Amino acid sequence: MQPAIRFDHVSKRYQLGEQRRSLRDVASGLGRRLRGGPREDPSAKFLWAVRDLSFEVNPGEVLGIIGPNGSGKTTSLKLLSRITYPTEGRVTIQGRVASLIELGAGFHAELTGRENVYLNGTILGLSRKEIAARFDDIVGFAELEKFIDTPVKRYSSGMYARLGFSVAVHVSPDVLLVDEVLAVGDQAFQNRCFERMRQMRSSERALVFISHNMFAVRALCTKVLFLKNGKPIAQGTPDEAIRAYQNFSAQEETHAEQTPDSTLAQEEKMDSTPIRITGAAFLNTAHQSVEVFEFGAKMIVRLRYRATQPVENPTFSFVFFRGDGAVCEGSSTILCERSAGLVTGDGYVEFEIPQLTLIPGMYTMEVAITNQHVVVYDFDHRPEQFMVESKRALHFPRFIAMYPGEWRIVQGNAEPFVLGNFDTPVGPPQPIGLADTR
Amino acid sequence: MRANLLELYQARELLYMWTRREVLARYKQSMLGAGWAILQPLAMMLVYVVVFTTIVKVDTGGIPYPIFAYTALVPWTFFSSAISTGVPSLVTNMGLVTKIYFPREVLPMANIGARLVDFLWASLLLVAMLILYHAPLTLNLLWLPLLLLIQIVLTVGVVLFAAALNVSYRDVGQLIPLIVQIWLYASPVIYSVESVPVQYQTLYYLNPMAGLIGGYRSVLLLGQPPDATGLVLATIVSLIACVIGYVYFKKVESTFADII
Repeated sequence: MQPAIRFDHVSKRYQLGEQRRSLRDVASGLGRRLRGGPREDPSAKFLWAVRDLSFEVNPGEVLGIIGPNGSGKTTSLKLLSRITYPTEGRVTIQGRVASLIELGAGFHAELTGRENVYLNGTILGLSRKEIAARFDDIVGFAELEKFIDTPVKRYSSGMYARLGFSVAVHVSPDVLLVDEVLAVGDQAFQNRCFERMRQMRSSERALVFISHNMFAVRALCTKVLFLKNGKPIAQGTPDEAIRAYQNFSAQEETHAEQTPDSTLAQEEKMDSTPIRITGAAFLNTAHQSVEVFEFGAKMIVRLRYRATQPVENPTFSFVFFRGDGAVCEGSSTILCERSAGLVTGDGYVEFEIPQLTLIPGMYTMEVAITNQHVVVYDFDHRPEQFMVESKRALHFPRFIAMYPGEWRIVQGNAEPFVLGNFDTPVGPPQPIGLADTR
Repeated sequence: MRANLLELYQARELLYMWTRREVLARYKQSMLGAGWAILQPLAMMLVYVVVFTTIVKVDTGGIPYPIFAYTALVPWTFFSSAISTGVPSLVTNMGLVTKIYFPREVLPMANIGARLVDFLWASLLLVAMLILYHAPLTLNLLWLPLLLLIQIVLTVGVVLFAAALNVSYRDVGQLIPLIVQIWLYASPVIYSVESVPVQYQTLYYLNPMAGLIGGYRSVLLLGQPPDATGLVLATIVSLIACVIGYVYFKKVESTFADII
């Protein structure tokens, strides 16, 4: 069986700096050539976004591509969707390709949802007849029946994205490319999108999935490729490649890569600060590093540090970020009355959360070490992730977390009945003292 | 090359949808909607009438200046607006070009299509004026579809070439209005072809718009066939422009996403 996708020693080089030239640049280029100089500007800087990359994806397989920002993931996707072409090597694709990179491509604000579905569907490769046949499914999946004939300029960004995703998902391509678009819509919608992609796995299509969400990658992919600086570092089962990526992230020196559109790395950052974060972990009650926590369970956040110079009572802070970007809660040693004194050498700080009541989902963490005033010693959005799970369906995306506490109900003149909370055991209700509660 | 043309044919629905999008978007956005398509050449005509019958007298060979000018302005507006909207169309839709694969020539060609729709609206007024001025109704009117076809071929070539150039070189966008302006004066819009000194007329006809506009006037206003030299030269130059434009476009297309 022919592979659906094949990368054969593919390399892609970009030129840094201003891409569009002016006629003056052309004139100076001509002048240089007339004088016998080289064809290209010798002072031009280049970047290899992808270097000697080879892999195959067969129908029915799902390839996950993971790696830090600037590692060549998006370039690989562009090469796959024939938006750009390799400088070396060859890309071969069999069949119709659809990419969920830009949702709502071609959408025009003044046109209605219906008109935009046809437009977007056509851009993605469907004929008008095919779109008409799937139209009801598309609108139903996006849950926009009531608004489909309103101009999309009136849509919220969530509705816009849902419609775009719905069209793309109904294109039924032979090859589907997905780039981190799952952070749209509420949890229920995200679940449906995820289910859809899972269905594709069993329907003999090839799927390439780029994500930072290791849970999704593990759940969806049949094999995973870990890229760094455009080079393939690990390729294999999801567990192998994800472990390789997590080992890489845990290393102390991480130099940010240069890409055509990112700012230059601060490679010297690490050396000039007296104290920095060297690791992070989420522990359960048995002090084991785990990735999944039950809603309401105890969690210990551990931050490792290294102080190359003594620092007077540094302030450690962390805040959780949810998978869709929502900023949640955290804590900081600034609240503490006691001082740690002079901190030096290696060590770790721990914060014990008695009941982790973040709503179910995937979370990462941002950490910082500062002093009491303005100085920031270190600041990092950590790659470690954890997931909060619950047996109950707690799909409340408006909530970041739910308070631990106690619910009571008083019906008319009856006695207060303690409903309790998530940690209240099922059993006979406990009577409570009446005098204090009226 | 055959593969390219096949791909374009396969993308014909996208071309239709995108043209429709360009047409609808413009009409929904402006208060006048389709009226703007008529207003543009009409307004120019009124200005020309004032200037070129009272201030600078132009010899039209007896034809009333309003219809003389308007007959030329309708096809000219199609040409110039196709260029001014088609050339930046790739850069304007940069998000699409860098994220989704489709034959890129669809974008400028859809703009040409949308301006063609404008042309059809404007020609309604032209028909009304022709009736008003008792223009002769002859079999030579059958030349019209051919003239329009040649003009479309020319427009496609020019727009594709300039649009592709515009992606690679920033200045092109600035130069285009200037070139169009010069081209206007090099074409018999304000004046008639006959005003051009005889010894230069063949050279003059190297500008395809000269043969075409002269042809529109001959057929619509005089009931005569288009000038043979003009028509032949217009056809040849337009075909060459179309081929060069399309070939160049497809050659540099693969670099668009990297450069834009």
